[in-house]
Amino acid sequence: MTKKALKYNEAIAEVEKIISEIEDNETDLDELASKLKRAAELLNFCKAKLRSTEEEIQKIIEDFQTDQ
Amino acid sequence: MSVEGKITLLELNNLVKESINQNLSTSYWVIAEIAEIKEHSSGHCYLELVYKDKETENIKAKARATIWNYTYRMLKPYFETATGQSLVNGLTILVNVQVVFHEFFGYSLNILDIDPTYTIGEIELRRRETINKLIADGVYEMNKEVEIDDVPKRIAIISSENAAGYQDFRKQLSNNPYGYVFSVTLFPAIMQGDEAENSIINQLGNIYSQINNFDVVIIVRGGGSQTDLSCFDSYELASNVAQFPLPVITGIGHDKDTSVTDMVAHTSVKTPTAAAEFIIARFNDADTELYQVTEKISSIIKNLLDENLSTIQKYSQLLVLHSTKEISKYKLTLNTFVHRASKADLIILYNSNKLSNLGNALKKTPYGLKILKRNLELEIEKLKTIPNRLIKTEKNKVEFLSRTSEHLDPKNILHRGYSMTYSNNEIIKSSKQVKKNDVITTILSDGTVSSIINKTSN
Repeated sequence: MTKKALKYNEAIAEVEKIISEIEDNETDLDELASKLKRAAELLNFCKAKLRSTEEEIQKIIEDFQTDQ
Repeated sequence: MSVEGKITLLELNNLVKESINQNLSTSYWVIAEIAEIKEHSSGHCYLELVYKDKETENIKAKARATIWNYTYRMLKPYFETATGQSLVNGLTILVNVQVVFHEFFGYSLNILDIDPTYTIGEIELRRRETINKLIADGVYEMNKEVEIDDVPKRIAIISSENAAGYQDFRKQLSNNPYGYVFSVTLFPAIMQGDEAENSIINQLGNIYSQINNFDVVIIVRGGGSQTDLSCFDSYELASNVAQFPLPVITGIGHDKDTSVTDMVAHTSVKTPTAAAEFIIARFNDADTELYQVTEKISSIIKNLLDENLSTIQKYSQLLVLHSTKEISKYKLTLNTFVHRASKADLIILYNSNKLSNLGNALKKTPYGLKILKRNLELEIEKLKTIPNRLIKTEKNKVEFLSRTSEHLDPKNILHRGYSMTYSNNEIIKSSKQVKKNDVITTILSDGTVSSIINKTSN
């Protein structure tokens, strides 16, 4: 797995691809675990990104609301 | 010259007085402009009334006039209430006068009554003229078109420092319930009377010289009398306000018609307090809008986050579902194999059991072997007898068969009177096989006969 900065949308797109591959029986058993692992990784990444974004936004909003 | 026929000045003045009393005994309604007016400490009011040439503005007539204190006490409030205007220089009035001639003080007018409706008309006329002039100048709407800041924080205020109205304004601003802070700079001016006009215009000039420090100009007049507002109808002041590059808010505080300055101002309110309220309301509007925008952004962001979160959850579930399904599919296939493999095992087990049973049986019973041997010997004996029996049987069969075949030979049948009939090398078994004029061949025991069909019937 390349270590370039992952983007949220790319991660989601990759998860979608993996799901559709599994759905369409395009996945070998050998690959299933590694793909699942990759998908879980991506989803965790997305979740973390979402959470941190949410916190950041919350903070920004609070900041400029108390500024007034 | 003798003294006879000559009179003293006093006598003459008395004659004039007498003559006036006789000829001008009634009172007259007179239109005149006030050139000068003074209130004496005694309560009497002394005026100088003039008549000006309409075109040249030159004074063509002049008279002193007096309003005695007992009359003035009633006339002054009556006039001011009716016109919203006190008796000042330059005002044209309609007064009821009695001509008085005093031997010492000379000619003067004793004012008995005043008709304010005339002055109202005069003021209104002048206002109209001022308004028309401002419109003709193209400046009437100018200040209204100046854009006012959403949060006019830096305020230049023209007022008189000690005026109640100015204090009201400051108090209202600083007591705003939202805690907004304003920067207020006072430009003190005289707010009523003859000097007001120039004083206010001067301060507008001062504000203009540091215009970048301010967002809005407020002109408030502080409490006190409702009169002496004529300066706010002046062309010069109104014109200055109209053309001012900052929005001007007036809170001049009057009950009657709005002044021309109010008309040309960006916004006109009744009182200084209302002027402060206007500023606060603008702040609050901006604040509310900001809050709403914030709320909107928050909710959009929240929706976006929720949407993404539910996508992630959906995908997680899908992944679990699909991979579990996939795994169980593989498991099922595997189970089938295992099942089949275990069956094979059973067969092997069964067979090996059987085998070992047999082996055991063989080992355990030498007696069985003996039996087998005997059986084998018996079988061999049996086999030895088979050839003789087979030959005999075959012989019998051959005899039987030759006898049967003799019996079945067509020749023997033909000897007995039967015959066979052919047509086109096919044996005829049915009358339907032939028709009239067909050639048929009949085989008999000793030769053949050829014939032509004459007739067929079933």
